Amino acid sequence: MNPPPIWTLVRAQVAAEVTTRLRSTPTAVAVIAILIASFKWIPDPASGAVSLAWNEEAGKSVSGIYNSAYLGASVSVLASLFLSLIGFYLVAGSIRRDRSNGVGAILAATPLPSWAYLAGKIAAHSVYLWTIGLASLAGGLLVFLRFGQGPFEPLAFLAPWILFVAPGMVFIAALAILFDATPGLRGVGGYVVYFFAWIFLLVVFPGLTSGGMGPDGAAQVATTPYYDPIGMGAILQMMQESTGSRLGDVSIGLQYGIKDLVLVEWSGLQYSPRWVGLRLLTFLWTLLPFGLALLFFDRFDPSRKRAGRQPAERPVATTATTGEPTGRIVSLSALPPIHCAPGFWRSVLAEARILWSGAGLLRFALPLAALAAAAPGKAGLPGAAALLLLLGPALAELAARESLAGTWPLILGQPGVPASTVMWKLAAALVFVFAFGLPRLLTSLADPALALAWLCGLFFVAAFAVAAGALTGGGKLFTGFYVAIWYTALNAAPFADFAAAMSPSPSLATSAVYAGVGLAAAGLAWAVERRRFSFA
Amino acid sequence: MLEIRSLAKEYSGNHLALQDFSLELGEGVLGLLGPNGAGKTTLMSILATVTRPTRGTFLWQGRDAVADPLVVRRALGYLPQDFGVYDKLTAREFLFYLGRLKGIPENELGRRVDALLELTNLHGAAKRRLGGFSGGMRQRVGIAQALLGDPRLVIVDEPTVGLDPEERVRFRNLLSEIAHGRLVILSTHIVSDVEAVATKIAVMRQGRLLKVASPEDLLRAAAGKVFVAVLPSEQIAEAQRRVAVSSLSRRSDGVHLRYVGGGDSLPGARAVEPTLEDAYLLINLEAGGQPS
Repeated sequence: MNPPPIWTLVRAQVAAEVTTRLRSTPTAVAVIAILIASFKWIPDPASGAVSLAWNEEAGKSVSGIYNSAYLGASVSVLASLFLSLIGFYLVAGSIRRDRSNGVGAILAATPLPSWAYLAGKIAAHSVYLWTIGLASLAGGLLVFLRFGQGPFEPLAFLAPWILFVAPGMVFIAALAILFDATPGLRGVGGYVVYFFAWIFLLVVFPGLTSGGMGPDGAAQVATTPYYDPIGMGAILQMMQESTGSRLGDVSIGLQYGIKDLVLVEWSGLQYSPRWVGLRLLTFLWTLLPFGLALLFFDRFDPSRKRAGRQPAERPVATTATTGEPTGRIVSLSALPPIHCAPGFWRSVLAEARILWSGAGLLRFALPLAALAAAAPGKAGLPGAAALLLLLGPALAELAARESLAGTWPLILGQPGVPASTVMWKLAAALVFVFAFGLPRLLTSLADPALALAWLCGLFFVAAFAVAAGALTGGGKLFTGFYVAIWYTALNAAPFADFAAAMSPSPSLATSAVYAGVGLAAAGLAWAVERRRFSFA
Repeated sequence: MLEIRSLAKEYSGNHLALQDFSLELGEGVLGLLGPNGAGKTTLMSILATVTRPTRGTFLWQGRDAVADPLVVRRALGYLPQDFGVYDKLTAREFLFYLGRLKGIPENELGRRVDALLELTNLHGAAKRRLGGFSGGMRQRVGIAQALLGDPRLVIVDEPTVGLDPEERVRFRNLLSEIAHGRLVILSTHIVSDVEAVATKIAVMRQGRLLKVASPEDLLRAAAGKVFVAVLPSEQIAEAQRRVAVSSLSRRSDGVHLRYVGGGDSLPGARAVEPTLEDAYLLINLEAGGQPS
């Protein structure tokens, strides 16, 4: 029998992958989130808030009336930013999943070449991200129905999406495959790394190299954005061209409370062959992560894993009843009877210990960061920031471990596992974070508000990690959001400083709010758990 | 020891995985036999307090385990049919973790873990990460954890899947050894696994209990209903359509076809002594199962 054409195999892969993902809860959450975000991103034009704006020479802020061209450009920027970050976390982990559920081994034994498998994954992820991205268009349409002006022009509305979102998502899909295929990047560590890759490689670097971003936004010179996967540099330059303003006067991002905002009829981005060509260049850039993924992909062959240190084999033992013993003889009935005493705290400590055992390289970094965080005053801030960042990947999969590894049947029947596994995991997470947070807590007791805020922050990390893990069955949601909050706090945003350890003006009230959010999230996870596992 | 009262489990879509299942069991080994989809795994999952029954209940030592699962969990060693392990942990770390969840005292835990690793022939791999284990080795880790807490009730679902013949023999012997003073429930569709160790056999089909009896009683009931006919190769296909074939073997005088059911179905058939596999096939056939 002739092997089926590659195209047929890839198409089957796309159908299976997309169908599976579209039926998942995170997809529904992402669609709702992007619909809500569309309304937030494109607010009431009378509110003095805008997401796309430019300055006139007179210094006044100008934006466009909500016509098809403006709304199309606006939702495309939103979808590019939202899906290049959240979308990555939605699609990442598919090779890992194929590896753990055995599907990978089955596929590896088919004529499907490795490149076709990876290309199929990229195609599937792209189709999925485009599908989710359609929600942004739906959001834009709803905004048009509410606030839109002029006739609805489908081409003007859709063109930015096709030019920016479509190629951008293919690049994101390829990045997800690269992270999945690369040892050290697959898993929670890679999810943290991606957040920084997104900031610096997809937003900041293309912006800087295209002249679209710079200090104070002044006097920049536009350079051709050859590398600009999600199009942030290109859209700034295209807006500059179409509005006739200086590059530094164009802004993308929500601005509130603009006084004397002038709304004009903007005809939208101008699509010259140069810009279309540059956007198509993104497809060529996709070959880079694809090629690297191909290089690192082991085709589910365990022998290509790095060999671990293995102890020398000892002689084989047999039981007393098998006959012809070749080693030590052991009988279960020869062991003394034991009296088991299962209990909540014993299980909590067991869970905290297993968290430590599975922490890998973090076992070296966490104690160092904990000690550095204990330095008095401002000297402890870098250590505190590092500790908070490291706690993220350490805790990310704590509440999802059983779902990811398939150990629920083993765990649920254990007498020490309490009725609520969410509360069990939360207690273990608290033991873990407080163990590492204790040195800083002790040295900050002189300032009770700071110490209390630190406790609130630690509680937030533990509760948010457990809630997100329990609700999603994975560590991606927590990692993505947590690292984003952490990075925002590191950039001196007081509202994000959940542990009062990163911004210049820490506040106990802020930390208390985050602790409340953590508590609410844990409560939600607990309520969902009660419906899911009713045998307790 | 264990009293099962009218257990039923209904999944979404009105699929009845278990229907009105009642049984009383004392110490010994119960072999649970049945084809795929018979409801064995659902029953075991309920008895292990992992799944809640839709109706009915079961008592362990006279106490209602559906109302209070802890009464079973304190006495339970459970090996599920499908289970995962934590790839980054070593076998020893994994067993220590589960031992703590079972409440084994710390001063006893090391000794028991080492003994179980020895018993399951994993002592040489105790410090290796589970991610590098073969399917059979993982299964043995599962067996070790099931026996870790000195359980009074041992529930093992398809325990010999993935084990090589030597390990299967070792495991059967282990079950026989631990059965004294305990109740062991062993689910399988490999009749030879239960033949060696079961003191009682229950046959399930489509969520119902068809029969429960000792192996000897099952064999007695099948006596006179198992036949061998010697046929030329070209008649085999036709014969397989007419009777429930237990086994086929090619010899110099033709194909020896062993079947259960009507003796006069095939020409020249002679009655032979039944095996447990024949008895199991016969029960299924009488319950409306298709000839194999």
